[in-house]
Amino acid sequence: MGKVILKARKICKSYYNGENNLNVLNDLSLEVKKNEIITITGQSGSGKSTLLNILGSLDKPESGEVEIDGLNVLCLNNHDLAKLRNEKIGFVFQFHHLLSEFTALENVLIPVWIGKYDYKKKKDEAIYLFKELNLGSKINYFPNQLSGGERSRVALLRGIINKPKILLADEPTGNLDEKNALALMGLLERINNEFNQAIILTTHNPGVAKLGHIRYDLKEGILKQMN
Amino acid sequence: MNWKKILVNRFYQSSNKLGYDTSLFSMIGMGVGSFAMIIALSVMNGFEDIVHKRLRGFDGDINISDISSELDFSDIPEIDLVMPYMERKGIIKSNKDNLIVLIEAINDSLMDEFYDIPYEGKFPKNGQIIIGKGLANMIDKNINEEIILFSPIDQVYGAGFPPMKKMKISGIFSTKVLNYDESYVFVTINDGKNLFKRKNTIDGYKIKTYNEAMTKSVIKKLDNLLDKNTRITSWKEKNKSLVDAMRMERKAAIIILGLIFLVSSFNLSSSLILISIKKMKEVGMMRVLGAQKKELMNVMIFLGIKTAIKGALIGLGIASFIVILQNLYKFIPLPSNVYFINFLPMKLSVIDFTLVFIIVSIFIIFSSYFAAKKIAFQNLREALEWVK
Repeated sequence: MGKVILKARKICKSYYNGENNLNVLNDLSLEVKKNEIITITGQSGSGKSTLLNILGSLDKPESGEVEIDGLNVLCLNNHDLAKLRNEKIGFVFQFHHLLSEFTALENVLIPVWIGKYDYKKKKDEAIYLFKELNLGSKINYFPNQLSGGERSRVALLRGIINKPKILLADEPTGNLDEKNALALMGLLERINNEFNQAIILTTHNPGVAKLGHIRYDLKEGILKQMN
Repeated sequence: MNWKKILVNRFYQSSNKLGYDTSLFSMIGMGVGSFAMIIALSVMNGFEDIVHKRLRGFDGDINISDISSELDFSDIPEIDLVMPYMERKGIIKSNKDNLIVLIEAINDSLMDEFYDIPYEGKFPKNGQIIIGKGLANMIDKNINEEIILFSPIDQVYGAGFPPMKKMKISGIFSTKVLNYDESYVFVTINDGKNLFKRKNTIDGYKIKTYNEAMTKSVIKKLDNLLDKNTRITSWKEKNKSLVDAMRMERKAAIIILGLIFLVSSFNLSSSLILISIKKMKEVGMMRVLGAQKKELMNVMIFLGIKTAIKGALIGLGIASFIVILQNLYKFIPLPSNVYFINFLPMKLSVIDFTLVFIIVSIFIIFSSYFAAKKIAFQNLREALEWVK
């Protein structure tokens, strides 16, 4: 049994649409252990991104608790929250969100710049990972010079460069063709195997969801285990 | 690794590509504002300086009046020149008109050294008079022509009428300051003694110090030295209304020109907000990756400063350059029949330059702050939705 990295208890979140209060998450609880891949499927608008935002401290629930590596996220101040995001959480988004002003390598090293890490060591690691992912020749390319698949790989490297406790991937394959989606899935699996990386991945693609050791479906604000 | 500096530079480069026009207009706004302020203050300083020089050249630094006896100033080393004088209201009589004037009888041997005023002809000897250009025009007299001068209050005992003296105009001065050219005439102290029968002793002294800055300390020493009834006034006190008016004018100019900056800073602020909105995605992502709100706010403030400061510095630089060129080559003329000078006077002081720079900086920082606050404190979920 791996150590519990993320614990969410009785998370509630609703949005007011101008007329009614829409309950997006209803007393939702979840635990993620080290080395575990959790996949969450659900229809568009089911609350997958909202859940990931709350788990990643980007949004706050109306009630409930979120604990990452023993820290109660909702009790942290802005400074500690920023530190938590930098050190313990990695993010990968569907549209990669690489900063267009920075090269691929610089994009990967941004979390290193922000945190207090051995820059040279991390840079060497990043270059090694670029080579491992067949991106060695692209380290000085700007995002607009990279293909969609390459961008998603760079975004994934940025998500793991600080060796976070948990990687949150919000529909990372949503914008990729099948070949690149499969390559990214393979990469996520490899990261999980090689670095014991805990991953939560949301997708509406059942094929991608198979990657999860534990698979959930999010419906009416409640997570239902699939396997 | 100073990521904030890198981020400012990269954002600046990309904002130049994306919002070149808005950045350019903000820069121009700031540049025009600082240019206008420096030029206006320099011109005011230039005129003030000339007016000060003229007044000082006419009145000296300190005026001592209501004296009970002749004084000795040899104990005060800061004093450069002392001009004893007698002063009366009198009448100048010509074929055309009789006019009331202020007669100053002074030591003719010191006149050339003491008075620093533009004039034609010569300073007077006994039997001669130097009058202002305005007065000369009014009585239609010129150099070498004669007038009659008398002081009505100085009546000869027994005779019942004042002594009149025919005098030859030796020179005509032109200060173009206040009404000096219309109201003052100068004669020698000997002629003064002949005209002013009622009291023909010295009325006071005009004093020039080696340096204008010494005036205060000399007045302090004179205060201790002289009796209480003696009046000691600096040239600034004597011309208080003019000095105050110039100061007021200067303050008003700074405030009014400050409004140019205010308008420019609105423009800057909206440009920066536009740039900030364009950078919402990047700033949001930086926060996701662990950057602090305050760090990002500083990044956006420095981005604003970097965008605007170039314009302000260019404006300050061009204005300073023009001031230097004008002082060297006097290429901007003024009609000498209207002004007391034939070129536009400009003087730029370090204090004014610093003041303008501080005003510009404050406006830029405030404009940048509001734009930065908007983006750095944006709800992170909203910022991410914006990203999406």
